[in-house]
Amino acid sequence: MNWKIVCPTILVLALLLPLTGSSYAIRISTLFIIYTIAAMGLNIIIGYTGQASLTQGAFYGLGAYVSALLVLNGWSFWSSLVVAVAFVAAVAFLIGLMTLRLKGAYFAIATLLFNVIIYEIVDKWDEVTRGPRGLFGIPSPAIEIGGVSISFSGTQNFYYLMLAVLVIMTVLYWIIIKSPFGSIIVAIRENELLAEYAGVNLTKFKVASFVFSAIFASVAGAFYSAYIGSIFPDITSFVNSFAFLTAVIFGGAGTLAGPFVGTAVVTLINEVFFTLAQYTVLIQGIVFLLAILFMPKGVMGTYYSRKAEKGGELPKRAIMGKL
Amino acid sequence: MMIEINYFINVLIGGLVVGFIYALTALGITIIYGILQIPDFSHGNRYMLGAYAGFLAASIAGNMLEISYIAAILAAVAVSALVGVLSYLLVYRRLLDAPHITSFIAAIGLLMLLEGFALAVFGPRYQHIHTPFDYMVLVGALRISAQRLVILLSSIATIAFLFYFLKRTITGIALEAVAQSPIGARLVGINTDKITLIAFAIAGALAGFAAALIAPITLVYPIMGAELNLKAFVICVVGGLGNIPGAIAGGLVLGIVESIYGGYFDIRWKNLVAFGILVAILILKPEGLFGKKERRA
Amino acid sequence: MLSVKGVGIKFGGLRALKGVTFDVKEGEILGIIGPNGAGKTTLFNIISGLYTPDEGIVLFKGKTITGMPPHKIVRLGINRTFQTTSLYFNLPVIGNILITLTGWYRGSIFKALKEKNGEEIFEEAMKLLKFVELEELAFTPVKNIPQEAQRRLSIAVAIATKPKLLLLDEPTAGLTLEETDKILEIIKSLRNNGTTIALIEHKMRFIMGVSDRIVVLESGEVIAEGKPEEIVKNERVIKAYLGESYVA
Repeated sequence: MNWKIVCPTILVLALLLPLTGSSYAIRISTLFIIYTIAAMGLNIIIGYTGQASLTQGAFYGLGAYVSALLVLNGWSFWSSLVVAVAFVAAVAFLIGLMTLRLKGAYFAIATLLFNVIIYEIVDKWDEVTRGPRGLFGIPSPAIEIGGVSISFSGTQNFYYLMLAVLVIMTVLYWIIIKSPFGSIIVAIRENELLAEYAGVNLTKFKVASFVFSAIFASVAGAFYSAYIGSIFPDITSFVNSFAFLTAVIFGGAGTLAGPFVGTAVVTLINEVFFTLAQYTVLIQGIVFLLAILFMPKGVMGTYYSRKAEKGGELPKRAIMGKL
Repeated sequence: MMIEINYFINVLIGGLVVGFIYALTALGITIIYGILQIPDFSHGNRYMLGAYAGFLAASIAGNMLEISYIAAILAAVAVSALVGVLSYLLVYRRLLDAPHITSFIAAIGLLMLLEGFALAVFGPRYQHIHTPFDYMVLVGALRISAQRLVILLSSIATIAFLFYFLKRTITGIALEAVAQSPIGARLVGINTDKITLIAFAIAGALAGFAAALIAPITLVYPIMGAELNLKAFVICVVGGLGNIPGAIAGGLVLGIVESIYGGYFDIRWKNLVAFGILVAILILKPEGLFGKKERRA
Repeated sequence: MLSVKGVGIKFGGLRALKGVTFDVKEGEILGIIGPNGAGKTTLFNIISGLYTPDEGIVLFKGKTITGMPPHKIVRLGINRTFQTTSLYFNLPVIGNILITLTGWYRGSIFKALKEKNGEEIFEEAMKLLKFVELEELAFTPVKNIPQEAQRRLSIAVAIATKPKLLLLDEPTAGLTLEETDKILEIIKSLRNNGTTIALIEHKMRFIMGVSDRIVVLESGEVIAEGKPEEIVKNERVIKAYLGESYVA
């Protein structure tokens, strides 16, 4: 596969998608983009830094809630987005400082607990969040260029907006992984002790990648609330953390394309079995387990392993453990 | 004054009842962690499936409450143990050589699968298991529900039996040996695979028993496992993962604290307070309240 | 260069080290010997920041380093190897050096995100591999190279951070005579390049040959210190280390 051909092709096809006139396809693609952004973030902390964080769902939901509350109080979407991202980043910074000293399972449990705590606050603090009644009538974002106002309320407009956001977030993701920062977090994943003896301040880098992952989640959440127009405390639940985790693992943790592939597969499965709502969790569970048992490296991880076995050439970054 | 004391004792007993259910479930998690070092997030769903098995058995067994409840208990214990054994055979055993995080993620998959199974088969409805002990007993000036007394007494008996098993029987001693040093245990000729299988069976059975005990009070529904699981987990962490007395003490403490909090304060923040305290302990004392501090090597 | 002063540490009530005092002088090779369980590796763990001692201090170039985390101590100019070879086993040989150099040069998050790894890092990595004679295996996965080559690689990884003091924890354990000689050469040329070395060893002939001075530990205490020829004559050492039968 040559990414220099594949990526532009996908982008062109994505740009042409609305020509099909299928609002269903546009809706699914928009949701796919939103979930992919959150999954990309999770891949930074789980796939590359090797820390099994289970707070991603809470960061996603918190991003949605903070931006929606501000928008409903008359703020513009864009300033709400900035504040929401900054707020979630600050929360992640504090949680990261507290939890990232813990190892393995302990870190996972602590982050899961923080997810529950954030959910409890959103669910119970109804003076601020309106609790289980949820938030309604969240307006769509709009921009003004030279006195002309463009609203992203229509399905198609929002889709193009999300495509632009996806491109921006993908570039950021690419920079984070490709840079020396990416190599250092891989060093931490591969051998924490040795990384520390390379002069790396483990806490700093772990916390930074935790904050990055939260930023991606909060961006995704903020756009989700603007797209759907209503949100409920459930959005902060750890069920979402598990869903993003499924996507990352399925696509291949620690591979660049993993979150895209994984989210695509998971979104498709959910749509295919949509009519069997009662069986969704069961089907997700079965797919998830089969994936981890028979393809523990995920789609992209397995692809690279096969390629290496056949003597094929891996990307240049593989020399530093990055795929 | 008398009423206040009675109220307090009732709150306390309520806390102990819930605490023992927590403890029985947490014990399973801690036993599995001790042997495989896997935080088995799916454990709560064994408890949930046990409760459903109990519900089914009770409805089949007919109208004699005594018989149907005994059938429910037996079915719950058997099914939960079976689910535990199958989880090991079909999932964890295949991942013994994989990186640790794989087993851990598989546990999440298993959690979804088991909960999804219950949702698909039984739907989200609440189900009842009826108990023959649905009357009140007068102890001194206190009126206590008989089911609660049954829970207290049988939990204590079960835990006593568990300790006897671990300290006095060959299989139990082997189980502790594997938990302390899997390689060492293999060197002295212990069949670690068989011991792990037994550990999963015991863990499952304890969860099933807990489910059958509490189900007449709390009803049976698909996410009952997930709700309990999280608390049971944190109890293990607070007691020190792999530490058996720690899991029991942790369960009882959480049950009592929750009950007292719910009996006297705003119930709205109950979960937040519980989880907040637990996460604070986890961060400040990751080795558990009863664990010894280890240096990193 | 390094002064260890009255260092003691307990593990769960057991005294692993007690009142350990000695110096490492600039430019020398210091051998540390002692029976199993004497506390040699624990001593390295304290010097390199993995453990904080319960009592005593460690000074490096006159500066107290006890209680500092390893990454800070590495930046002051101390690095180490581990008894059980510690490497990035999933990476190719050169990847181990590259990733270490990246950590070393881009230790701040800002630098790590902004700057790029250029050719010069690759060249430096090749130079280090040449020094330990591994350049031909540069692109082989570490898993697939022999144990002896892994030992040399772990030395190259440690010196990638340009330490002034290098702690080697049994660099030749399990190696053949020939392989041991290779390590010996590396250690000598490191010293000639100005690196001070402290080294734990079990092979008597090896350590007596390479060390300028020797410190002997037994049950967590220093029982002798001196030139190799003094140490072999020291009766306490012979008794403790080689057993009663040697004295007779």
